[in-house]
Amino acid sequence: MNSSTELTDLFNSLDQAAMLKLAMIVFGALVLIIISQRALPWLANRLHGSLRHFLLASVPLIRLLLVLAALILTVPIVIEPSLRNMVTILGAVGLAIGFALKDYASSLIAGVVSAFEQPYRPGDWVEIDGHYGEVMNVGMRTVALVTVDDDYITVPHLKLWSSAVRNANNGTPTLQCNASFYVHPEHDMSRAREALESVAMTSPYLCFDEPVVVVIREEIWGTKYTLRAYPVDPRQQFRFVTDLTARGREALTRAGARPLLPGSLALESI
Amino acid sequence: MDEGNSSAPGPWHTVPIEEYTLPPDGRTNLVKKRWKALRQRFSGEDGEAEVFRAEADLRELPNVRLAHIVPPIDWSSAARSLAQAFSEVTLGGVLKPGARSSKSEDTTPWFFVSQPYCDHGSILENWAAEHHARVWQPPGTEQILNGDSAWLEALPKGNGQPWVLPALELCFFRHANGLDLLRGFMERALSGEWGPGIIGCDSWAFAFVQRIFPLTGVPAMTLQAFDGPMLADYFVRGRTTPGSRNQIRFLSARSGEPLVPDETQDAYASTGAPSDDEQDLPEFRQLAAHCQGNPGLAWHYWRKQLRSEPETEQQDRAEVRGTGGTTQNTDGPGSSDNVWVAQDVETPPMLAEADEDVAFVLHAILLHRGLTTNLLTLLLPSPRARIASQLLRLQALGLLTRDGERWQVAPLAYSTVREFLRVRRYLTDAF
Repeated sequence: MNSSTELTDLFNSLDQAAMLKLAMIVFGALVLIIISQRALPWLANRLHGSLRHFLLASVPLIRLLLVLAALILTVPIVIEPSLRNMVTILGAVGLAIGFALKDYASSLIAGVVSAFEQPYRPGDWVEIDGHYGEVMNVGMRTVALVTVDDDYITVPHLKLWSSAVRNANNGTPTLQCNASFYVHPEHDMSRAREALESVAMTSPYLCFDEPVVVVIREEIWGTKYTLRAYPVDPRQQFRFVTDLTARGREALTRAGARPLLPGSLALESI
Repeated sequence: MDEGNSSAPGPWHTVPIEEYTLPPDGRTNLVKKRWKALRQRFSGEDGEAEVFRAEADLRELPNVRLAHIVPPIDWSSAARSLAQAFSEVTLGGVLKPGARSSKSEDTTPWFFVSQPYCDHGSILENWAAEHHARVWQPPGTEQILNGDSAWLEALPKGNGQPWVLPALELCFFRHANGLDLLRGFMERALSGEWGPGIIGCDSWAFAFVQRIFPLTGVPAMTLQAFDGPMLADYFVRGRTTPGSRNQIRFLSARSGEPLVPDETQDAYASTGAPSDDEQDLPEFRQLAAHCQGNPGLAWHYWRKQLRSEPETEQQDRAEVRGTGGTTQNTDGPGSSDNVWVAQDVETPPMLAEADEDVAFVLHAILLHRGLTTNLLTLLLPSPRARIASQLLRLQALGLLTRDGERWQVAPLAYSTVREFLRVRRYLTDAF
């Protein structure tokens, strides 16, 4: 009974004015979060290049700041923010989370970390846990990807603690694409290389601000060419690789390099 | 080398490309333009400033009168400035840091790069006619795609006589099979095999060629930008006949004031010389900034800006019928003919939902200074039906025009199209 009175003493008495204040803070924070989450992506998708990625990346950070601001405003209304009270409350909450909601809390904390460290941001192309796709939303607990197959995948931020995150463009509009070709070793390599460079330079998807590189590797079964180039927009990566592959194969044949496999199109993107 | 006509080339100056200077208001105007584009994108509205004359009441000038007031640009003056630059370069006069030695300039060609709508072909052909230079025609489409070296072999070896290739942009395609001839030509031309010459090239094609065949140290010249006073000089003084009593007065539809002060225009009329005074010519400054100093583009805008009173228009028609094309003002001796100048020209808006297909079409057309539907189908990864449909849609919006079989970006849409491609990180020209 005594401890129950002490626990009750932690909290301020919530009169009608305090309740109204609380409701207004929560409502205001929610409205601002919804507005920022709708308006910023809307605006970003009407822009291009770095500005688009910057705006998309700011969405989770702004939401986190709004949540923190709401908490800072709410706590003094609900409890008397003395050291003793805070330790008691945080201890009780920590205990509950530690037993019942460990993974959930871990994901929330990883969400906070991800907002600052930014291993992924909306608009990035990432691979997490074997899933490759564009980050559509970075929530408080999860990150949502849309894959090439148009699957919507939700991955908890918790994966940050244990899995590698491969980010192909890292908050920029620059994303390298690779098209690989496997050819018979008997051919003129310099002609083949020049032909592949021409293929990249003549692709309408090409971003000229970034280099075009042809990597040649001798394997025991033949020669592997990898054409590395960048599209003007990361969202074009698969169409770009398709274009490079289709025209690259034709150009190699013209240059006297026979493909090793029937339809040797190896599409991959890093 | 014969310098030909030594009269002053007026406002035309040929300068190394790195010395091209945007008109003074270029930056401010660029910010204003981008703000306007952004506002249009989000609101779909365009704020109109208060104008002295309601522009809707004014009429566009009839073509005959327009041809009289704004005749086509005479590129022979630009050719004279080119001749001056060429003789200076070949004599070792104005080589810039990073360029080759004057000795090698005697045998190697240099580039003359011009922005769209500045007819480098005409300039170079004018120059070639004056200097008895050989003019080389570009190869045919099949020759380019087959890398047919017969075209290269047919070009005569150097015998000291200069040569001109007026349009390098017509010698390649942005296609894996369309670059061999370009590479072969550049290699042999720059080695000095054909002696001194000038390669004309559109600025967009030049940006692309530099990526295919790096041109470090090769001199590239261009026409210097026209600023406001130079445009005023060209468009107003050019229409003011010294000694004539009937003068055309260009009045601003925004303020009702003459664009060029009457005393300055009178000075033109009496002496034929431009005023040396620094003048505030906001309309011309704005025009120069909007066109980034491109005189060919400014010419198109200026024509579109000119308006007449409705009754004057009827009068014009009657006069044109009566005089066989020439217009006269009947107000009496010393009177002037008023032409209103609209504050702004309505430019075709870019499609709000423009996708990458649109960007590809516009970019390919600019890189090649015009393409046919067949060639676009060859160069782009989209099916022919989709390309044809895009072309018709862009034409309906006023973004493209058709010149025979070739599609071109409409002059008034050029700034919009360039900005559309620039923000999407497509390769653009250096201007």
